[in-house]
Amino acid sequence: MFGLSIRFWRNAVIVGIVASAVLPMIPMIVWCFSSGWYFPNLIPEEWSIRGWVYITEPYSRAFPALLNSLLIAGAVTLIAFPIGIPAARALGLYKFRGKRIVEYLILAPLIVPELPMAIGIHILFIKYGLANTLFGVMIIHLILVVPYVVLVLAGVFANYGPETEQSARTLGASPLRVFFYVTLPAIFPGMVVGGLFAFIRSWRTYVFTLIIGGGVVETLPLVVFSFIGEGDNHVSAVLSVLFIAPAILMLLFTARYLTGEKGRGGFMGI
Amino acid sequence: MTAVVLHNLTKRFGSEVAAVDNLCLEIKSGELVGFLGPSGCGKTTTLKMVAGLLHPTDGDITFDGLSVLDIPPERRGAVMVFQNHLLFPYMNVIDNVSFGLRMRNLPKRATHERARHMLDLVRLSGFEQRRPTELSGGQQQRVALARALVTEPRLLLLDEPLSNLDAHLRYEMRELILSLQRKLKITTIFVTHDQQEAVILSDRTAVIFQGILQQFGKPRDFYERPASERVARFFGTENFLEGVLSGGAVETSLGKLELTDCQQTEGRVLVSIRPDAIVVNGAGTNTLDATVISSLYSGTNTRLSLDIAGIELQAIESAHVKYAPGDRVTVTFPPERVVLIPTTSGNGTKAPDAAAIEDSFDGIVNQPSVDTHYRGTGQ
Repeated sequence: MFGLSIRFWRNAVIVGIVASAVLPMIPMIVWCFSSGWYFPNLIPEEWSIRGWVYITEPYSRAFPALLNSLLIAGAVTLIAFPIGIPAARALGLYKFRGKRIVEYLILAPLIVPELPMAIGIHILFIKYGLANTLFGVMIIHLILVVPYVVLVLAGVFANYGPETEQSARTLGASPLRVFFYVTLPAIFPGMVVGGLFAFIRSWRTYVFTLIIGGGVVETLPLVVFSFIGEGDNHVSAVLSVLFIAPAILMLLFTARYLTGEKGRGGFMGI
Repeated sequence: MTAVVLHNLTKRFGSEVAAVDNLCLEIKSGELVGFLGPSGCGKTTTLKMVAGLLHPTDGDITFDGLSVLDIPPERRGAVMVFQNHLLFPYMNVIDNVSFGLRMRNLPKRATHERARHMLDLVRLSGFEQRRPTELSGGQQQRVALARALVTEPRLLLLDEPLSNLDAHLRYEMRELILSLQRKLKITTIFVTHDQQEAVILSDRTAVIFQGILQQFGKPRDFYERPASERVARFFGTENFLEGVLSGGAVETSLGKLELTDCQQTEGRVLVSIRPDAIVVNGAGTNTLDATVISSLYSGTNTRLSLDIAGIELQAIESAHVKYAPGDRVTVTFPPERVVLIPTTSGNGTKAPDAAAIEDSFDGIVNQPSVDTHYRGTGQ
């Protein structure tokens, strides 16, 4: 097209996608160190690190929110595994009546729009006294997160040969030992990918935490958005960096499992 | 060294389909037995039941006379080696091989010692630190075998051990299995769909079609005394004729054929002769005139289609003589090569030449089910 090779266009698209993700971060990072930067200036007029000091103050609620987010996302990711792995195994390895329906139900939270879902669940949670509680927020996060774990691991199990487990059993391994010595190592890359998706899904949840938590349970997104709402760009930028940093760190640590080393691992068992 | 007996073993998936139907077999201690049959005939299912990986719908399995149905696979001592997904991909060779010993909570040093010794037996010394992905198919097989044998199991179960290998590797692997089995004297059952493999490897073979045992005996029996037309065809016998026994011979549409050593003197029977048994342009008892219909040269031999008194039969001759369609030849059916097969007509009629066929069932436990062994496709 236009006399340029496919290779050129492919590279151009990649650059375009990466740029659209990275470029908006540049103003954000500049705002982290400036308290005033207005059009049409290319460089901020006022430099400041006020925001960085601010977040360490207790009345900024920044660090408690960060801890809440870490606690919820971490706990929910861990709990999603004992729930998700058996489900994924069943869906990946077996055929049974009603399998389609089960699949759709498990994946439903991925498709149903957030706000209606949140409002509906909120009514239910009020009835059961779960509204405005940490426990209630964790439950709703779990509902949102389990489908990711199941989706990724079902793919892994679909490519899985149960013969390895069966040989292990005949070699003297009890079902529990088979799980730890054979199954777990085999699905580990899938668990990392699924865990990453799970963590990030919980980490970025705003609407649900706001509605179910009622403002009592405060996670980092809530704090970030409230500052954006107030129009303080500097503090918002600092909080945003605080918000994004853990997710990026997780991504860096698990990148190895996403791309696969030496053709091992890979995405969704492919 | 364990003797295994299957008593009326049945496995049903769902309500009607019986993958394994009323299987009765007795396997002697230290024997190498093959389960032979086309794909999907229930042989792997049977193997899994013996291993404890599947629970039978009906029947019993005994090791040395004691039922093992209540014993879970990790305690039965029957180790199974599969066709695919052989090794644990996240462990190196030595850890793979010592797995069974580690499951017994033996100290690591001792387990590695024995694992090394076993690797030596399968001629893979020096491969201890390699990963499964760094091994060829044949090498993986050998490691899998070492892993199974290092635990000194009561029973070794092999699921299609040679099917994934190319011809050269197949030969090597076969020799290895044979030599290890002879040396360690472990009762071994292997599953295959290849008659040649079964015949070469096993002491006795069980031929199974659609979950039903057709014949269980020494390899020679399938060629000289097949239990049914179907079994005979499975082993490459062609040329079937209907016949009636009279005196020491059988009356067929080709005339009277002399037999040797015929136990029975009366009754209907199926007569067959293997293509390689027919002698072309020879002489002797049972010689008839024939015309060549077609001739197919295949390098090592020549396949002939012959017209004998209006009936078409197949013969295999050595390659160096040439035949052309229309040639007039003589064919001889040596009496000792004429095979009598029980007809499937009638229910439970005692088959002619039954004595010879019964020899091959030495050791069958449940006499009343003898007629099940004769069941071919017939209902």
